[in-house]
Amino acid sequence: MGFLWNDLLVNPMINALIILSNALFDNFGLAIIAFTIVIRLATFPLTIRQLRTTRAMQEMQPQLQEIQKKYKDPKRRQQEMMKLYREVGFNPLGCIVPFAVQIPIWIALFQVIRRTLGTTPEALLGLSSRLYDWDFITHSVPLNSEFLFIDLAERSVPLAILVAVATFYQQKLSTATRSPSKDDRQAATNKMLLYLMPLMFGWFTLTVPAGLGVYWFTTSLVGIATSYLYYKPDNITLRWLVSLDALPPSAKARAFQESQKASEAPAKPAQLTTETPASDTADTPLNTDDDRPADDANSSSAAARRRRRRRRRRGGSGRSKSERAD
Amino acid sequence: MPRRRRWLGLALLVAIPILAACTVSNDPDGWAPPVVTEIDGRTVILARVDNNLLGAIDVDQADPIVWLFPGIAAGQPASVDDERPFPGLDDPVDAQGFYGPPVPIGADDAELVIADHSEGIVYAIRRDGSSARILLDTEDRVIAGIVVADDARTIFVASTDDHVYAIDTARPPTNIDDRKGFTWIADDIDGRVWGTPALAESSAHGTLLLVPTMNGSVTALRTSDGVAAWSFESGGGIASDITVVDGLAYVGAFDGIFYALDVESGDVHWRAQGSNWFWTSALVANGVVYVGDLDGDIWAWDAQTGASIWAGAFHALERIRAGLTLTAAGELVVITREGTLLGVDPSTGERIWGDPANPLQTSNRVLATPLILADDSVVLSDDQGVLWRTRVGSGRVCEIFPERNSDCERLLDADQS
Repeated sequence: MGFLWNDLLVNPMINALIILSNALFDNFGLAIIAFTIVIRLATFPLTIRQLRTTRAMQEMQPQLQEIQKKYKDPKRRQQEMMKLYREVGFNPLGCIVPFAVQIPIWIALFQVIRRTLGTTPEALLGLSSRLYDWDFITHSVPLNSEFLFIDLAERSVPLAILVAVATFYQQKLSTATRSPSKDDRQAATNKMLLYLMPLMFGWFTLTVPAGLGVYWFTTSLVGIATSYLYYKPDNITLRWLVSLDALPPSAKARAFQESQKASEAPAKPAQLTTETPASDTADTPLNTDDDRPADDANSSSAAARRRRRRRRRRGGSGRSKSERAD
Repeated sequence: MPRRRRWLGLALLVAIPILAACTVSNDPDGWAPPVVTEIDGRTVILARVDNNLLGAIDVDQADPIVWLFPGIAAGQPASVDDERPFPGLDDPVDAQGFYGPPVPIGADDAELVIADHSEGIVYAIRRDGSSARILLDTEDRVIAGIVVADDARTIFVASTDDHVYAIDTARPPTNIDDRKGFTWIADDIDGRVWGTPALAESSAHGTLLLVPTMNGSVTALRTSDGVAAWSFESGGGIASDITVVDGLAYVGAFDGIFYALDVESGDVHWRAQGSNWFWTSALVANGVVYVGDLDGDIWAWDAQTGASIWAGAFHALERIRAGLTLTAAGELVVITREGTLLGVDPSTGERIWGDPANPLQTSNRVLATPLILADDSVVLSDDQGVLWRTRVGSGRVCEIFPERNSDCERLLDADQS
């Protein structure tokens, strides 16, 4: 395993990165950027496959939601979903496999940058055993760690901010290219990710050498470009770009129209008699049919939404009588 | 279930970069070599112990700790309290990684100077461990050892911030930013300094401080004013310490070449090709330079001409970072990174003792130069700060600090007799 990891993945990447650094005017920052782009290009077929699967999944959402509404028995529901997957030729693993293949490459790239920077004497000593015995490689270490206004071996606050901003836009674009979620919780999760991910990656960049920040920044930009070129979203406005909104105005309007349509549809007897806001689900008992799974109980119900809106207008809490009694 | 899957996905996203970051440790350990000294009439070993402490250890006592910096001052309870400041300091010290050995300063060598890698702070510790003071806070990392001038009062601190600082330890500067209170600051050092500089006497320039840099240069600074007298460029970075003997400065570089420089001019007196990076300091004895490289090859060259003394290199088979030493009998002692201890005949390059295929059973790697005592005991400090004792020619090694394995030592001494 160690042989596979080190000799077939990490060490060739280390040497390639050093060669790139030599070729790019002894500039390790440029080498990291170029190397990240090369790796992203090499894994591009996997990325495209992942994007296709995600898109296919989105396109199937109405049918999947229909199945979820129609079949209460989880086993039967699962069977119907698998049937649908077969009919449209969709492989549910199609999303996971490319992601799973890319994870080791990302981790290796991460390690490679960290090892190649050689920020401590021990790290540089360890690097010496990973270099190929070619003069132009061994002689070029230690690498020049100065790049623009930063030292790649040190932590950089401006770079952490750049990474956070890039991650924010990557997340924002990812949200914009999805069809607006009818699920309140999904929408809340998307919104949470929009703010959480930039904070997380910004903080993370603050704790590691700036070289890794350059990698994160570049990979985010490539991610943004890939998503943009693949989805070609037409609903993006400058105003939305500079706002903190998760969804662009057109998507919001579409989501609103869809919720309107849903609320105008007649409520089915088997559906929820009451609806609980997503944030309350953890600590509020649901007034649902006993034989129905919690997922169904939590799914949107037109009648419940109507009642909730009426109560909100009246200044009510949004919960059913039975819930308030609890 | 979907909710659970979402949280799982989120947890995975958080875990991946953290996992990736944690798979490569970047913590500095340090490789300050153990040295023997006297404190209040006791012979003690000064060594890096427990990874982030410098200890004065009397291994012959039941309570071997004389003091531990920054954990335990002399006379304090023998437990490390991270919140307790060392006497003389205002705050607790968060040290990590001592690379250079402690060097004595002042009348009667009253204080020992050491630099902490992570914080870049230079401390003077009273020899008896009663108190310490800060001499300089460079605000950057310090890897190179401290050099003391002949007056035992001026010290030269070479930092990774591309500067060399000369300070009077009797009146240390209070603030590095205002640049006041320094004897001088040399700004024109071309690169980070990792190897320990060396003093050299020049008839033309007076006393010089020869400073190696990771950019591959050696710059000679006049100790009187810090002005560069000459500069030399090698073909690779220089992390080795410089050794000066008889008007020649010896240093190896990452270009795999070992250089002998004329201290008057910086001209190359001779050069010789090694197999890989040089990272050990050269040992000069009896007119011969001995040095090891990271391919595990030991070389012997005539100190004046660079002519090879042996038929070829001695192959230790493992990488060598620790410096070479000589026993009382004149045998060359080599220790590899994996802990293989070998004795080599300095005149022929033949192995006298030690088995290259059987490293000593130290728990961790050995990067620090070993200490050879008068009774032919060899003290090793591994990269986690555990101290070990073996004997010249023995294949047995015994831990002596923090735990002492007396049974092992009895067998070790019995082997010798």
